[in-house]
Amino acid sequence: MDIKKIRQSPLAVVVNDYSLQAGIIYKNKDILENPIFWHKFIVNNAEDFSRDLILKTILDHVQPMDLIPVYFVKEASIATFLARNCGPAIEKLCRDNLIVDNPYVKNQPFKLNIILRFATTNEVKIDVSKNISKVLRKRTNTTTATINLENFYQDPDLTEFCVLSQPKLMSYVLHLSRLTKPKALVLSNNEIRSLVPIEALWGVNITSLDLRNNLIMSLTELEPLTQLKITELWLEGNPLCDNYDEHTYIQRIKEYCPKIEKLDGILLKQNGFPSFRRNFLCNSTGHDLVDQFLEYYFTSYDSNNRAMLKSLYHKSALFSVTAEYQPMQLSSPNAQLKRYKTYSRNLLSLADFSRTDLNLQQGHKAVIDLLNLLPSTEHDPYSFTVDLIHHSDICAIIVVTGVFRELPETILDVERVVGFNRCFVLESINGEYCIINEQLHVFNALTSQQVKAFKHDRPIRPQMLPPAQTTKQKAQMITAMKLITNLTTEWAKKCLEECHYDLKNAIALFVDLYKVDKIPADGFQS
Amino acid sequence: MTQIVKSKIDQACRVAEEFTKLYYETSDKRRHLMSKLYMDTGLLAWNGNGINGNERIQKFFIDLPTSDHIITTLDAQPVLDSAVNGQLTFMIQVSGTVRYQDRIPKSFQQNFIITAQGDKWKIVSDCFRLQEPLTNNDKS
Repeated sequence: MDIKKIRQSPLAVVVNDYSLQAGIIYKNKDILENPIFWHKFIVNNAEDFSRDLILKTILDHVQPMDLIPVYFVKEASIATFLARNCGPAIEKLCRDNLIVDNPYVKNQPFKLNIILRFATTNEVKIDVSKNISKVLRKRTNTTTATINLENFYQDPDLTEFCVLSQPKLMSYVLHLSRLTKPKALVLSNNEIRSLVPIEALWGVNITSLDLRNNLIMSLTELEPLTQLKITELWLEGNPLCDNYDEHTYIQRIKEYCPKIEKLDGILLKQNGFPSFRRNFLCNSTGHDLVDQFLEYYFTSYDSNNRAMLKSLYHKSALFSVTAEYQPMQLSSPNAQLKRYKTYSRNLLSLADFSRTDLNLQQGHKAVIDLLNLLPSTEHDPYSFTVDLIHHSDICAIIVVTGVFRELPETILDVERVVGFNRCFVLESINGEYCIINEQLHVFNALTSQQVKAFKHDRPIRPQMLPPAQTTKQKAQMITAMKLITNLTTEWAKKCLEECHYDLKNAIALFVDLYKVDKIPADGFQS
Repeated sequence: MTQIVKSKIDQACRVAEEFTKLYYETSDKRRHLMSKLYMDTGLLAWNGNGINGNERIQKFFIDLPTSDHIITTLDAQPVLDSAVNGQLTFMIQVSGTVRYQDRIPKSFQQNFIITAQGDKWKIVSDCFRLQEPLTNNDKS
C-alpha cells in the first residue's frame, strides 16, 4: 500500500499553532477517542535525522502514553507518520504547544502539526503481524526454545518502527511470540520501563527471562512475573539495581519469583538449598590477611619443621583436636585416626567435667609439641573452603575446611586422605597477627572429597636453598650460617653437618640449642 | 605464661554442651525461635552464604527444608580475653550428621563464637559447612 496515494479526508481537522490557540482539541474530543480514525503527524525540522531517532524522541516525550507510529515517510525536512488510538498522547503534545525538544540540536526542536481524522481504518489497512512473526522466527533458537529480542527495534528486517518500550507494542510482539512456545526470552537493551506487557506470556512455560540494560525503576514492576515460573532472571543494568543491598535485592525478587535459582548469573539455590559457595568473607578488607595467613600457616605445617609455627602462636594460646571416624567411605577400611584420637578432646565422650582441661593444650610450647606428634601432612589448597566470620581491628576468626593426605611411612602403608575443619582465632598485636585459639577436627575423608582431592598440581614452591652438595657450596653455606647466627666457623659447621647442609634445618637446630644453653660462649664470634 | 583458670574452661565446656543442645533442638523443631539464639547483629555463614542479623537468620532457617541433626563430637575453648576486650567469649566446634527432609544424612561441621549477653548466651558468628554436595538423587 502506497501511503502517498491516500487522500486526506474532507472531514480532516488540522491542529497547528493557530487552531490550537482556538481550542480545537477540546472541540474534537470525540475524534480523538474514536479508534477508527487515523491521524497524520507532520514533523518539521526533521532533516539530518533518522526515522529511529525522530520517532524515539517523540515516543519518549509522550511516554507512558501509547503512540504507535506506522507508514513513516521522510521528504527533505519533513517527516510524516500515521497513528490512531492515541488521544492522550496527542493531548500531551498539544499541551506542549506541538513542540518536542530534539536532544541532539539545541534551539531547534521538532515542530509538529497533526491532522486529525486524516483517514479511516477502512481506507488505510495495516497488518504488521506477518513481518513481526517473520522476524521472531529469525530470532528463535528452536533447540533451546529461546527467543532473543535484544535491541529489537533496530532489527533491519522490521518494516515498521517497533519499540518494546511501548507497552502496547511489547504486548503485541509477546502475543505473537507465544506461538513458538518459548522457554527462555531475552528482552535486554530495549529501554523497557513497564513489565505489564509480560501478562501476554501468562500460561506460557517461560522459565528464563533476561531483562538486562532496560529502564526498570522499581522491583514492584516484577508483579506480572508472579504468574510465571521463573527460575532464571537477569536484571542487572536497570536503575532499580542501585536501590537495594544484595540481601534485600535477592529477598524481594524471591517474592515475585519464588522458584528462582539463578539471578544475574549467580546460582542462588540448588535442589531447594542455598547453593554452595567456596569462600565467605565477612568483609572484603580481610582478603589479604586470610590469603597470607593460610599460605604461611599451611606451608609451614606441611613442611618437615612445624616448630617454625611457634612464633605464630600466642604464648598463652589454646589448641585442641577432635577426631571422628566416618563409616562407609572409600577411606574407611584404611582409616587411621589413632594419633589424633589419642589427643582428642570430645566433650561428648567425657564421663564427667572434672577433666575439661585434659587434651587442651595451653601455651605455644605445648601446642607445638602436640603438632609435632601429629602425622606429616600435605594439604590440598584446591579443596579448601574459607570463611572469615569475624574481622575487627584486634581480632579475626577464620574457618578452613578441606583435605590433606598423610604420606605412607612404610612401603606397606597406604596413602590416606583426611578431611579437616580448622578454626583459628587471631589477635592483632601491634599490627602482627598471632593465633590465640585454635580447634582442629579431622575425619577420614568422605568419598566425595577423596575423588576430587589432589587433582590439581600444586604450584612448586621454591625451596629456600637446596642442600649444599659440593665443597664450594658447603663453604658458602658455612659463611651464610656464620652471618646469620654469629657462630664461629667450627660451630656453624657442626650445625650444618648435623642437618646434612640444609640451611633451614640448621638454623632451627641452632635456635633449639641456643634456647637450652647448649652453645658455649666461645662458640660465638667475639 | 598466664594459666587460664580451670573454672573458665569448665564453664566453656558446660555452656557449650547446653547451648548446642538448645541450638540443634531449636533448628530441628522450633525454627521460629532461632533469632533468640543470635545477637541482633549476629552472623551466619551457611555453606559460604552470609546472612547478617538475627531476624534474617531466622527467616533463612524457616526457608530451609526440615532438618534432623545428630552430633558426634563437641569441643569448646574460652577465647583469650585480650582479643575480645574482656567480654566472656567461647568458641565451639561441632561435627555430626544432618538429615534434610527425606534425604540421606550428610556430614557437617559447625563453628560457633558465643558471648554472654545478660543471662543468655548468644551467637556472634556461626559457620556451617557441609562436606558433601546436596544433590537431587540422594533421596533415601
